[in-house]
Parts: sequence; C-alpha cells; structure tokens
Amino acid sequence: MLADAVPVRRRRGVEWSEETSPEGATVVRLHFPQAETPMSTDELSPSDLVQRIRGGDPRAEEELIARFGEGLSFLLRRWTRGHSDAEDLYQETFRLALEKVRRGEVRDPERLAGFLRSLARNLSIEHYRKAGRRGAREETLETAAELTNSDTGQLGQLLRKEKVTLVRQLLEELGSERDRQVLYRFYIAEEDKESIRNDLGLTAPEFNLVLFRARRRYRDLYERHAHRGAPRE
Amino acid sequence: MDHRLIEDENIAELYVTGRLSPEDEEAFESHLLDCSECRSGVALADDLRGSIRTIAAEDAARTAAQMGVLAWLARRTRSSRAGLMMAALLVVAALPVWLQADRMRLARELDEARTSAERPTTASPQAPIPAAPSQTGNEEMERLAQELTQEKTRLEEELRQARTSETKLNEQLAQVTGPQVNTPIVSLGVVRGESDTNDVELGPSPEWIVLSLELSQVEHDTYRATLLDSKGRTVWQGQGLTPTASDTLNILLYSERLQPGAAYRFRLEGMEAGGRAVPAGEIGFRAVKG
Repeated sequence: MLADAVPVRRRRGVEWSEETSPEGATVVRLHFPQAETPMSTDELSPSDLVQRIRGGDPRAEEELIARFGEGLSFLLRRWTRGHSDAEDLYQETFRLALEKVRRGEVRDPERLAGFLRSLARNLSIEHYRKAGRRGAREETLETAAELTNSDTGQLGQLLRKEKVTLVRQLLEELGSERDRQVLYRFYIAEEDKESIRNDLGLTAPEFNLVLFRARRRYRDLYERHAHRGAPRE
Repeated sequence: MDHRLIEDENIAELYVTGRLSPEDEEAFESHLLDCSECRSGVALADDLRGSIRTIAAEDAARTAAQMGVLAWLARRTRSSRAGLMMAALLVVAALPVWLQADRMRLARELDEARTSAERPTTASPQAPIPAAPSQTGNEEMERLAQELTQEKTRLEEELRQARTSETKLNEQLAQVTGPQVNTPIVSLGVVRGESDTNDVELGPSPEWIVLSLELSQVEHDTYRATLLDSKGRTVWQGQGLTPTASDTLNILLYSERLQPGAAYRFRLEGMEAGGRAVPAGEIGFRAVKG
C-alpha cells in the first residue's frame, strides 16, 4: 500500500506523481492521458531515443511517454472497449518497456512503436487470461473492431445522438443511391469489398473515393458542428 | 506506413471493420501509436460505422412498427420476442440492400445485353458480325426486360399485401387497446352431470369475454389454469391467478381463441410453496354461436 501521493506534476505533456512506499522507496506513477497531449516538436529518431534511454537519460524516457502515450491509451481503450483496466495496462506497458529498453532488450530500435504495440497487446491478453475473463474480453482483443465505448452516461448519449444526426444528414446529402449502397453494404452488411465493387460496377479507385468522401464530409460536418459550440468528445 | 496509402486505400475504414490482415493490422496499430492524424481518422470511421448502424436499426424498427410486426411480437413470450425482434431488424435492414443490389445486377445485365445488341451496327465492315448474336442479344434484352417487369409486378403485389395486412393489424390493435364496453361475463362452475353443461356464447364479431371460474374450495394463494380443447391440446395457460373475494378466478379471453361448437375444459391447479402444482378441479364448457 502506498503512502499519500504528492501533487501531480506535469512536463512536456507527461503527467506523473511521486509516491513513497511503506518500504521508503519512491514510486513514480504515470497518469493515464485523458485528452490529446501535445507532441514534442524536437522528436528524436526511435533508435536515438532507445540509445539515450539506455544511456540513462531521464528526458528521453519522458520523450518516449510523451510521444507514444496518447497512442497507447487509444489502442488500449479500443482493445478493452474503454474498460478501466486500460489504465493499469498503460502503466504496466510503460514500466516494462522502460525496463526492457534500459536493459537493451529491444532488438530493432527503429521499430520501437511495433515493440510497444506488441508488448501492450501481449500484456492485455495475459491480463485477461490471468483474471479468468477469457470469453468476452479475449474476443474483444481478437477482433478489436468495435468502437471504444466512451458513449456512456447522459453526455455520451447526447453526443452519440448528435453524431447520428450528422451521419443522417451526410447520407441525405449523398448524390447517388449507389454511394449510399456502398456505405450500407460496407459498414452494415460488412460484405467483401470486391463483391460490393463488382455488384455496383465500381473500380477500386471509385470505390475508395466513395468511402474517402464520406469520411471527409463527415469530418467537415462534425467540425462545423463542434465549432458552433457542441462539446467535442 | 505511408500516409498517402492509408488515405487512398481507406485503411482506417478497413481497420475499424476488421478487414485488415493480421500483419496489416499490426503494422497499422504500430503506426497509430505515433500518429494522431490517423487516430483521428480511426475515430471518424468508428463514428461513421456506429452511426450508420444505428440509423439502419432505427429505420428498420420504424418500418417494422409500421407494418404491425410489433403488435404480433407483443403476443410472444419475452425471450422469443427479443430473438424475433433482432431477426426482424436484420431482415428489414438487409432487405433494401439486397433488393437494390439485385436490381442493379439486373440493370447491369440489361445494359450488357443492350451493348451486345448494338455491337453489330458499330462493328467494322471488314469484320462483319453474323446476324445470330444480334438476335440473341435482342432476345436476351427482351428476356431481362420481361424479368424486370415481372419482378416489379411481384414487388408491387407484395407491397399491396403488406399494406392491407398493416391496415388490418392496426385496426385490430386499435380495437384491443381501446376501452372495452359491454364485455360479456360468463360464470363457469363445476359440471356435475352429463346433462349439465356450461355454455359460452360467442358474439357475431370477435370480442373480449370475462370467464369467471368458480372454485369449489379456496386452498391456495395462486392457481394455474390451462385451457384444453376436446383433444386435450393446450389452447392457453396462465399462472399466478389469484382468487377473488367471491372465490372465483377471472380470465379475460378474446373470443377468437374459441371455435363455435367446440368443447373445452379448464384444468385448475393450486400452486404450493416450492412451485408444486396440486389438482384443484376441472371445469368444462362448450363454445356456442350466439
């Protein structure tokens, strides 16, 4: 059990607090990012970052967390469907990653992101296996296809409703019935891309353009809507 | 990963719909760790996917309600209702997509047939096309046109039938959910001899009837009543019936459940603690046309 925590400290987008364990050791506790943290402007290459961490540079460790923290929490939230376990896994991933980097256990430093991703993924699977919650959770980790479920509570429901309204507008604005069919069959029926294309007589670039335009138009609508004062998720 | 490729190939959309290969998924997730722009793309694709699914489900539910399916579902048990509702939603959501796809396929075939029919007129004079393919093309085009007309006629007929059925169901729903007046109350007692019968008179049109079943002795807090036809088949069963102050069990029954001229009987069972059912008598009756 840890003693009282000192206030949260923040530097270069990284938040942490230092706590003292009953044995008298200082424990650094990283805080799970809740919003987009600014990226460092003077980024090191992944192998430079690894080299400097191995050399004992604490700023390089901060840089690692600042650079990959938001992305890691994004993936963990998806894999756990927004479960609070994501926060523990975030802590554990960085703790283990820093240990391995310091010990020189990263085989390909240029692929640092892939190393972090694999570590997080393995820890997530192991976490749920140990907890004996294989069924639903592992299925989630396997598919990793569902939306991160942050749309809970009244505000979440309101946001979701607004998004549905915007997408409804987007579907109404679509110039052709064919484009609507592409979106329905791609997102709902989850049909194979090739079979949709063949049925609707579309080339691959035409098909991709429909999806691309839909996303771009949705982003425009969303940003315009957010600009008018709606809260951004 | 190359941003241009991610944009051009809609990698974010493929990712959120689980269409990437395990290798590509791993590569894209590694890229996501270091790219806020792509994370935003994934979030947008997630929004689109979730919202389009919600819209389809909402539209399907609305269509199902309009067609009176809900009235039918309401009569099902709770467990089967959930499954049927899900099935209905899927069917209604998928049907327009399938019909549209099928229509477009036929249209494409028709276009191809037209093209093939027109080819001889545009062909080079050095390589004359024999007349037979042209004729085949025309025949094919006519056949497809005929198929399309038949399909249209069939769909129009289905739509007409669905509308008729919807009107009928809506009328029935309005009838059963509206206030009930002049509801007949029929008292049914234990029959003691062959000549002694209970008759339930059925009106000229379907209506609600209150059947008041007399209990010879009230010994239980709740009862189970089973309505059986002359062959012993269960027509209806209800549990948790509580006796009234006048020692009767009252059941509101829609007269369409009874066939004029047929004999029925109610099997009554008292429910004991622990769920055991104890026989509490049988009451027979005959449904007669009023």
